[in-house]
Amino acid sequence: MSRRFIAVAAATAFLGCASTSPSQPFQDTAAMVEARGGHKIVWNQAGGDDATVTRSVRDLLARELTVDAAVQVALLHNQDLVATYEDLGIAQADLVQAGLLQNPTFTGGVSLPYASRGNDVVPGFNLSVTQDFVSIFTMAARKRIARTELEAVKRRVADAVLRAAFDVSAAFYALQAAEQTAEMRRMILEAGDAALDLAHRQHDAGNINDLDVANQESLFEQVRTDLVRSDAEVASARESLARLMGVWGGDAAFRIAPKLPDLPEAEQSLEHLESLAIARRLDLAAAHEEAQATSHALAMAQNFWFFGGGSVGGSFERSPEQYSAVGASAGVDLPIFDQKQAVIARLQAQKRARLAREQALAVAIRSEVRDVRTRLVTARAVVVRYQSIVVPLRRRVVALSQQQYNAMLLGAYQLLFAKQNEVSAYRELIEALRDYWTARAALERATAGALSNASNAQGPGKTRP
Amino acid sequence: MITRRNILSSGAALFAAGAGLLRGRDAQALPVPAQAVPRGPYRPVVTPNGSTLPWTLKDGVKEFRLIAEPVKREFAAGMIVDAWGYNGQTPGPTIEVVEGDRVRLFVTNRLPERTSVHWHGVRLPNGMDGVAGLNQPHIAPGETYVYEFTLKQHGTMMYHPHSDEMVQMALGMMGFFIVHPRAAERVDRDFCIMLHEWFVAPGTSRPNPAVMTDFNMFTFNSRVWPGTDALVAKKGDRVRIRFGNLSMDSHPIHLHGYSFEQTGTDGGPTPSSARFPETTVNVPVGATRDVEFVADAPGDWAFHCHKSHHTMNAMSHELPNMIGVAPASDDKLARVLPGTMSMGNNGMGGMMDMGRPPNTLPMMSGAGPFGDIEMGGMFTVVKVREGITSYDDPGWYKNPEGTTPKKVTG
Ligand SMILES: [Cu+2]
Repeated sequence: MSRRFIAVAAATAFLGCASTSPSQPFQDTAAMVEARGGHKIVWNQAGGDDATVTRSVRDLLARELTVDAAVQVALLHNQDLVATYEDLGIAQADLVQAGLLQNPTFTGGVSLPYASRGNDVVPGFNLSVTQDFVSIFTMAARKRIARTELEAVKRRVADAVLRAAFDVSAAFYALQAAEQTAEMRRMILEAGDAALDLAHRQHDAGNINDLDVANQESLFEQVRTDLVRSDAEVASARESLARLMGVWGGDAAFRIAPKLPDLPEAEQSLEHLESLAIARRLDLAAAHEEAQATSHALAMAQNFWFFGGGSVGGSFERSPEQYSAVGASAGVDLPIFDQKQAVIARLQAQKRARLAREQALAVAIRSEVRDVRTRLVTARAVVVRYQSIVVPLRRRVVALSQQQYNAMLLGAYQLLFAKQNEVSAYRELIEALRDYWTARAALERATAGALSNASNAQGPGKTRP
Repeated sequence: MITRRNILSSGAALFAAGAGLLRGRDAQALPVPAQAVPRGPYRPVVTPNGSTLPWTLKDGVKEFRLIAEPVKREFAAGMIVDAWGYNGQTPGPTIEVVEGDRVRLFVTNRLPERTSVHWHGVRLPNGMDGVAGLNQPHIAPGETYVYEFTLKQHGTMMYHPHSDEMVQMALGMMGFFIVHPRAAERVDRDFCIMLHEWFVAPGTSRPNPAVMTDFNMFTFNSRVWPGTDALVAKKGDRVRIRFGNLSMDSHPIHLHGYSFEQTGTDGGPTPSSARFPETTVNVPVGATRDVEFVADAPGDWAFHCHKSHHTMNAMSHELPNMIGVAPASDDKLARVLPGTMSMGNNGMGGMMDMGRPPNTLPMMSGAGPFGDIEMGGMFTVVKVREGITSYDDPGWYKNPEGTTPKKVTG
């Protein structure tokens, strides 16, 4: 097999048909992303359809953004991601480089006689050409390494896309929650404002004193400060999302869907997620390919330890005595001092390190899956608790307070306080819902789409612009 | 229909009524002194919204049976209170005897805790005074004790527990112990009204005995207006009203349209030289007061405690003061809480009934012939009528033409 492989590799090298275009690796990468429930990705390498991409992004940004649309914008627009795509170009170029032979060396020289005894002495010259031959033998091995490196890069890039999708989702939910929280705080402020207004009118009528008013004012100002802080959180969450989507200027004035989605009725099956994650995670696959590439490099070093450098050549010489000669030469490095023992040792160490890192990553992935799954289950339980118990109870407190208020058994301040508590409970529900959706996105990320693949029978690419 | 007047009683009449009513296990009978004979006749008292305790005669001794037990008491339609009392009621049934009577009082404890009965104001042997621990052991749940003594006085006395009395009285355990004089009196209507105050949190039914001052229910015989019976008299009747107060506050009870004289206390009759006309009698804590007047002015006369909070039903005493507060230019309250309106800016009268917690009475209510009466608590009406043949509630008074105020126009 190895002989045939070498033969094919050599043929390819001589024919020189390897392309430097990373289109094919990008297609492969895109396919990996889609197979994991991710979005279709587009890479505007030449800048040719730049206008199309811009139009798509503008279209998406003009509408109320959903989480999917935000991810889509990021995948189209985030220049960090585009920079990552260029790794494919680099790796593809490395692959082409691995298939190229070393160029032949042409040498020419002249000799000018200066202490002649005769008359028919003319200047002499020589010409020689030498060609390195070692690169011919090692080409197949080098290409194997480069190809494996390219496979690793494809997986790294696909993983980066999935990670970006998670980052955008998390930022999106954080922004939604921040906006809803600010809205809730605005309602709490309104209740506080009603209480303060009442206090001022009571004070004007001579019914309460300065101390009472100062107390109400300080309560109100505290709530107002909360709102200022909340608004700042919205602005910050907005910028996080804008950064991840790679938008600026006018594009940064996007709107997002105002409410976090409700809890889905039923949870996806959370069985076998660890083994699914191990099978699907692309950073793990990339680590594996990287370890493979080191193995290949090690094998090459071991197979060609005796092959330092070597060349063959031919020469033509015309001497000043006016005779001509042709000659041939061959040279080879003698592996007397450097038998590549250092290179081999280095690669061995590198290989062990990469295998250990792959192992460590697998362990970390399993832990991450368990952690995120627990977070998801807990977040759902908390949301359900808030929805079915805490918020209805607070609402009931308001209703009963209102009943007592109507019977003049309770003052307006207490009623407003009850209302503020109800809104606060709702705000806590929003936070729990945010935690749920973030955990869900994190679990998608941790399992490389095992969840959505189970749920999305119709397959990926559903939000293609 | 039998009216009170019809049963101007002899002992025998009540004997029949009381026979077999209570079949508590008798304690060992005490020896009967030779002079014991039932006395009478007398004009029986009326306990508005209450009743008189029947008795049986045994060997010349009037025997009464009191059962201390948890009771349900309707304060007025729409509010039932989980109280403690005697024989199913609070106040306990009125005990009514005559000076010189020998009485035997069986007390059975069906409360969840021990109790005793103290005969407030009654002059009796020290051992019969009912202070648990001091004069007798506590009566444990399930036990029956018997008290026996001879009445050496007449007047308005009371009975109540003297064992964990703070809790037991706060929950409604009290009653009248009326002793008529041996000689007949010229009284046509003789009412007894026990004054009490409670704290029953809105939406609850159990009085809170821990409350010391901030009461929210004020009762005549454990009822509040509009659940209090009217006091009905015929024009010309001599009317006596006896008050007992075992609450935590004094209650200045005021009668419209008349002046009356205080004729007695739980210390005995007030000497004529010490009587003077007045319109309000302040009934101190732990005392009784009798007042008398001749009902010569027909009409519906308001009759109430003059502490104005005591003529309100459940109200909060911690409401923000809204009197005179300018209405909000922009009703922020309604914006935050749709369906809520600002209240109390122009006083608390004329409020719409917008609902309230269950088992809670409106702060003030009662419909009269001219509109809302807007009262509660210790309020009722003395109804004096000419030519009535029954003391049943005669309805609203028809004011003669030209005797009511008129709205001035122009
Ligand atoms: Cu009073």
